Amino acid sequence: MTQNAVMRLTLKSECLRGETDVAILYPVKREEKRNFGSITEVKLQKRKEKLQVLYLLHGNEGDSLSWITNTRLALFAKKYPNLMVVMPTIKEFQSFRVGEEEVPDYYQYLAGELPDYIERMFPISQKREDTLIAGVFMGGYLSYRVAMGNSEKYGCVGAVSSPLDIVRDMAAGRYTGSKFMYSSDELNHDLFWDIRAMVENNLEKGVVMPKTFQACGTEDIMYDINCHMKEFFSKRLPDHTYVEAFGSHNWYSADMFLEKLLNWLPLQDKEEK
Amino acid sequence: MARIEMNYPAYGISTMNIVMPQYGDAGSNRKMTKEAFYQEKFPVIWLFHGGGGDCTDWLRYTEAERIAEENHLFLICISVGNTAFADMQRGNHYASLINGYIWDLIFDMFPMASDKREDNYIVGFSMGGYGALRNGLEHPEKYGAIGSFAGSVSMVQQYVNGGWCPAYAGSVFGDKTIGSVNDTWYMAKKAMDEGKAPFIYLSCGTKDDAHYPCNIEYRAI
Repeated sequence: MTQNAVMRLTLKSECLRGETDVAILYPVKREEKRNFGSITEVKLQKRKEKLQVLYLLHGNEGDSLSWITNTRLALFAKKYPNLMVVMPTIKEFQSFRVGEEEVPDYYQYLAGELPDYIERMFPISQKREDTLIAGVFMGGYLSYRVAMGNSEKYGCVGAVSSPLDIVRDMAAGRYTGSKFMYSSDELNHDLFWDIRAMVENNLEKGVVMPKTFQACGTEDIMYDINCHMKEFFSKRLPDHTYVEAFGSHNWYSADMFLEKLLNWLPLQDKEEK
Repeated sequence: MARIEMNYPAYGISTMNIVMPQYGDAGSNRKMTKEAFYQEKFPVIWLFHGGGGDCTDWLRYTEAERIAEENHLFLICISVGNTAFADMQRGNHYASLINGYIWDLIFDMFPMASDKREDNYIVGFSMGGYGALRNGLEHPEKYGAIGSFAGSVSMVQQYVNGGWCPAYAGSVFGDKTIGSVNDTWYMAKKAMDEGKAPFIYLSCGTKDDAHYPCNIEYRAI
């Protein structure tokens, strides 16, 4: 049977100029002997294959434990004995700009530094099809940015209730208080920001892009944005999967879509429960 | 330095603290490249807490993390409660768990941790010092050296002589006392007779009335 170890990893990051934390679900496959219901002996079942890894990003105002505390992730994860879930803390979603500014660079952290360390220290597969990334709310947008900007690294990308069209989202005036964000005009067609521009650019260059998943509730404030992006993706990306259901911009919907996302991902050795 | 607090399935859910090398921890890292830093597997120190303690003790009360940074070490701190890291006669079998399941789990999780004998050291404080001796002497094939800091090296002898609460120590040792795997004196003598004596570092403060006399006696073996 598979159970998960829950880790809270604290590590140093040069991109973020300080320490940061990451929650990890690590699958532990084991055999146990019981006596009247009590465990008397446990043995680890050695795995043959390296683990698949899912980088799972939270949304605005969350932290590394958001997925675990707000959804049934830990329960769902028991079905997948070969999946490690890595959940970094992301502060200041608006600050992940590329440039010389002295601000934490979450894009570089996610695209390079974090996977580099995780791949060195844990027994995970570095194959493209085993490296997955997804997120909820702003985390979904960031997942797409990281995956589309590093197509050779990620096999699949997913977003749940996310403002995938950041230009439209900015134009809707949801981040007017931010000191870090550019205006929507500046973002348009910007390869560092605009998912549409990134996809077009990849197509132009003939880059093989990850498989894409997009989910949104019909009552979500970002439903319109998602409808537009769905149209765009379905024209450009043959492997695009879109899911919608009755739901709003909250963790109840995220929890529902998480199950669909995990079913959609090419995860190995699913244990039927 | 990277630190991990972990809840893992064992007999129920247990907790463990791990310190793990990361390039850039210590200033001396700058003398080598990142690739060179990660080229070789890192040694592992198993740190056992004392009676009434848990897996946070070594990180809170000592400089263990800084020392690990400078020497590129994994630190594994396990919580076992007041079970002396033994196979309890009436309770959980922690010695078997540590040397079987947890050992396998750690080297499954961290391919960069070396599972070679010469890279694994077992170290404990007080009750954990006993635990380090007990487990290190039982598994000389796993641990290259044993460290006991103010260790309760004569726990079994003291229990037999009525020095420990019978209800508590009885549940740990039961009838497995003198001359068994729980007896650190017997196990040390046996290892020496067989010419397989491991490297042991014993230390104790001279004002430590509870532990000093037995450590001096133990050293004499």
